[in-house]
Amino acid sequence: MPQTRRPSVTARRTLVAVAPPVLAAGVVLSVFLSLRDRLPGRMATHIGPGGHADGFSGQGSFLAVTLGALLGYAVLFGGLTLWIRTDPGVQRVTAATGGAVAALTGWLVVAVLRANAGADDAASVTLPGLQAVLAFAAAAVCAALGWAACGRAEEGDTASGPSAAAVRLPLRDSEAASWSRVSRSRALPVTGVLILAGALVVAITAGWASALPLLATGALLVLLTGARVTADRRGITVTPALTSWPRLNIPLERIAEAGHRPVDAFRDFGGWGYRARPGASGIVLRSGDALSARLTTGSEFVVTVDDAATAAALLNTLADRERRTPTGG
Amino acid sequence: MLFRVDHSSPVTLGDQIAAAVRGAIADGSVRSGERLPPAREVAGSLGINLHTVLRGYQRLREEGLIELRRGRGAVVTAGPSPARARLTVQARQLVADARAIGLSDDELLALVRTSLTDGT
Repeated sequence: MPQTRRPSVTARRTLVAVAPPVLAAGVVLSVFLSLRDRLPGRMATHIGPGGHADGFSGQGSFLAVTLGALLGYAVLFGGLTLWIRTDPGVQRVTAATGGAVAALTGWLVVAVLRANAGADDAASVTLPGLQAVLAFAAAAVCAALGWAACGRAEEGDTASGPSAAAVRLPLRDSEAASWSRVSRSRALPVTGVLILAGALVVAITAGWASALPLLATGALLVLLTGARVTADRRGITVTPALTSWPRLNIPLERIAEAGHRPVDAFRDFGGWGYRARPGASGIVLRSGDALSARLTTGSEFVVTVDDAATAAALLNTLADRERRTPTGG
Repeated sequence: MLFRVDHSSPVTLGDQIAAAVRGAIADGSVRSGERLPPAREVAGSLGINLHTVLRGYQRLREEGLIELRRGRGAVVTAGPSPARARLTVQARQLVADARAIGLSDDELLALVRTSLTDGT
C-alpha cells in the first residue's frame, strides 16, 4: 500500500532517547534553584542502605555532576540510537532504556535535593527506601511510554518487494520451502580457547574467583563456534548451532530484496561476531560468501554462510508471496 | 540444505522430507557427519507437524542414511552416503516407473531378482 513518508522512525526514536534526559536535567535544575536557599552548603549526596546519608559533596559540584551525567545520557543513548539504526529491535530497546535511565536518575536526584532541603546538618539527612522504589517505578513507566512512542519500524517505509532482476527459486503456490545451514567460524572458537588458556593461568596464579570472568567469556566464545542460518516463511533466523537461544530474526516484511556477496570480515566489518556499522549489520563468522538482505529501512543485513545464493533466491520468492498475500501464507 | 514440500502432491509429507534429505546427500550439498536441522525446527519452519518430519527422519534412518542420536539429533552417516543416497533415489524411481506401467510388486521383485542373478 503506498503511503506518504512520515518523519523517519530513527528521528522519532532518537527523540525518545534524548528528550527524557534533557527534560530531567531541566527539572533537576529548576528544583535546585527553587530549593537553593534552604540547601546546606555541604549536601548529603549518597544515601546508604539504612536510608542514612554516608556521602557528601558541595552544592555546585553535585549539580555539575548530575547535569553532566544527564546530558551525557542524552548524548550516549541518542548516539547509540542513531548508530544502531540498522537493527530496529535493538534500537527500540536502546531508546526506551535511555528514557528509563534518565527517569531513574532524575527522580533520585530530586528526592536527594528535597531530603537535603531545610537540613541544618547534612549528616542528619535521611531518605526513605520508598523513594528508590518510586524511582524504579518512574523508570518503568518512562520505559513503557518510550517503547510505545518508538513505534514500529515498518511505519513510514514503503513495502516494495524484490526487483524483477533478483534471482528467484521456482516454487508452486502449494509448496512450502525452508533452507537451513550451519555457518562455522574459526576465529571465535580460537579466541575462546586462548581466553580459556588465559583463564587457566589466572586461576593458577591468582585463584579461581579472579578467573571466573575470563572462564565465562571463553566458554561463551567456544559455544559460538557456529550459527544455524534458516531462510523460510519467517524470514532470516540466526541461532547458535548448539542452542536455540538467543535467536535473531529478520521477518520477510522487513526484507526488500535478498542477494549474496563475498564479505571480508575485517575490512567490511572490522572483526567477527555480531557486527553493526552505519548502513549495515550482521553476523560475520568468517570471510567469504554471505547472505545479504537489503531491508525496507534501506540498510543491509549480512550473515556469512555457504550456499547463500540458494537462500537468497528462496527469500526473494517468499518475499514476493508475502507481498501478494499481505496476511502471510 | 533446502527442504521443500508440496501440499498438493500425492506423496506424503514425511516421504517428501525424506526425499529432500536424500537428494541433498546424493548431490553432495549435505556431507557425511553433518547435522540435519532439528526436526522441531524443520516442522516450525515449514508449518507442518513435528511427527511428520520425524517420520521422514525415521525413514532415512531405516535406509541407513542418517543416525538419530538422543541429544545430538540427526547426523548423516559416515561411509558411502552420497552413492547410497543416489541408489535409494534410483530404487524409488524404479518403483514409481513399475507402478506407472502397472507392474505388481511381485513382478517387480522378480524382475530385480532376475537382474541380480544375471549380474553375478
